[in-house]
Amino acid sequence: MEIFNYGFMQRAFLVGILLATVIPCIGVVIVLKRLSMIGDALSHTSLAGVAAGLILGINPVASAAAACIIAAFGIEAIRRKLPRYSEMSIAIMMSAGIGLAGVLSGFVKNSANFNSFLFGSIVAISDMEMYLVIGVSAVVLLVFLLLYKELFYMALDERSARLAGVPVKQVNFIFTILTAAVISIAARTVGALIVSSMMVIPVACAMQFGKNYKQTVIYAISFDVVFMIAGLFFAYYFGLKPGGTIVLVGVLSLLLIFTGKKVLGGKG
Amino acid sequence: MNAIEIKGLTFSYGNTPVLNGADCCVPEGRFAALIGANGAGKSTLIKMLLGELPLTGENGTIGLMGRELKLFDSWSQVGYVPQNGMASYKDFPASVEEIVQANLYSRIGLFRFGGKKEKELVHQVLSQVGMEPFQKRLIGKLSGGQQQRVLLARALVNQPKLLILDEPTSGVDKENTEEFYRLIKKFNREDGVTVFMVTHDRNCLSELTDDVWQLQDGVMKRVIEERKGENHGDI
Repeated sequence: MEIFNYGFMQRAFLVGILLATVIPCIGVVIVLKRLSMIGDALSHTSLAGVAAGLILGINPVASAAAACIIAAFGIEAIRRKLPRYSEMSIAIMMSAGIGLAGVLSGFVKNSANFNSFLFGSIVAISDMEMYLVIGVSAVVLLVFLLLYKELFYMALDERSARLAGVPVKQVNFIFTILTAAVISIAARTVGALIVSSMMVIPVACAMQFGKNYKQTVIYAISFDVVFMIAGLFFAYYFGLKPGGTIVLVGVLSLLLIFTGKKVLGGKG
Repeated sequence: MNAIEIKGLTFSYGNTPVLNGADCCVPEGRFAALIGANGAGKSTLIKMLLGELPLTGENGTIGLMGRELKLFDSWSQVGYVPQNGMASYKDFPASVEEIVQANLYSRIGLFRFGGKKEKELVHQVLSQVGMEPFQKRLIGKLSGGQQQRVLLARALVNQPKLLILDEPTSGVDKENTEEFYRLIKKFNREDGVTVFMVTHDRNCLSELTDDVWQLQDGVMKRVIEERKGENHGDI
């Protein structure tokens, strides 16, 4: 196929499939803990890190990761201060992140570079960025498998998980770092404004079919990989922006699933 | 030995006192209920019992299974059944089997998945509460009463000595509530599991419980003592 004759498309597929494998691993836990908006808040805050990195001349992916980690712990700190209105912490941190990104972006000399993080540039990533995605994906996947039952129990019922002996604080800490790492590498490739959709939509699709947690995780990964491949194909052959196309494929699939279930359910 | 021993417990949220020198003891093998109006501090007390809220020497002491709470580390001996999870589990994509097995965490250990032995334990406890046929079912597809029986199985899978239940039948219909109480009573009477249950359901108290404690104005007082003829140890 013509699409695979180009090195940049081969890289895009490799990186895309890796991200589509690890993003739902984080997404399934975030969704089940009813914290879907955290992905949005962290990805927006990562833009402030990107801008800071570009201004200071350090790797913007690394500075985005640092900003995500600070934001994630900031959200936790505000939640502890305002336990009855915990969702407010996400809104506060998201506003702070967007505000800071907006101000700092004014000082970035190469605005095209900054803008590439908004919607990503999966077809224009360097070898170094590809290796970074491979490394981070491998670590995230390994840790997710090692902490599989801990993350499941904590998503189900954190209090009972703690009583059963799960080291809740430590696992939450590790999960925060993983989330920040995934969001920052995904921001560069699929876009900071899009990454949270990639966390939530495949999980929403998988929840329509999964008969247990294990199946739901496998289905979520499968859906995201299919959305990624289909999105890249559509983007290439119709000249569309890949990040947005991937998400739209996911949203349309979810709508089709909802509609199909309603129609079939109605007949049944 | 007292399974639960609370002495002079005080707790405030900011300037609002919730517990004001509460005392209570539940000897091993007893079935005790805790009642109280909304906002009386029942949830706070449960949180303190489960070690979720800070407990310094100044705000009283809690003993569990004969040990001070600060030193208590045998949490697998304590089973906990939360309030009806109907709303929170509605779309949760987990099977009954997965939910019960999750509580075998300390037995399975870090970086391992459950094996045949753990699956066998899960099947056993599910059959004890009459939920074995539903083990592959999604938790959200069960009725409120069935969900509570699954949560009871989860609490019992480690064969605990103390069972703490937080309004387990709120939102559950009468028939399922009665079945749930029958099971709890059976585990209490036949297996000697000590039960401490927070409840709003005053109808169940006289038939089911040995002692009823009421939390009011931050203090606990015992209001009923049933089955006086039976010897359950000193109170």
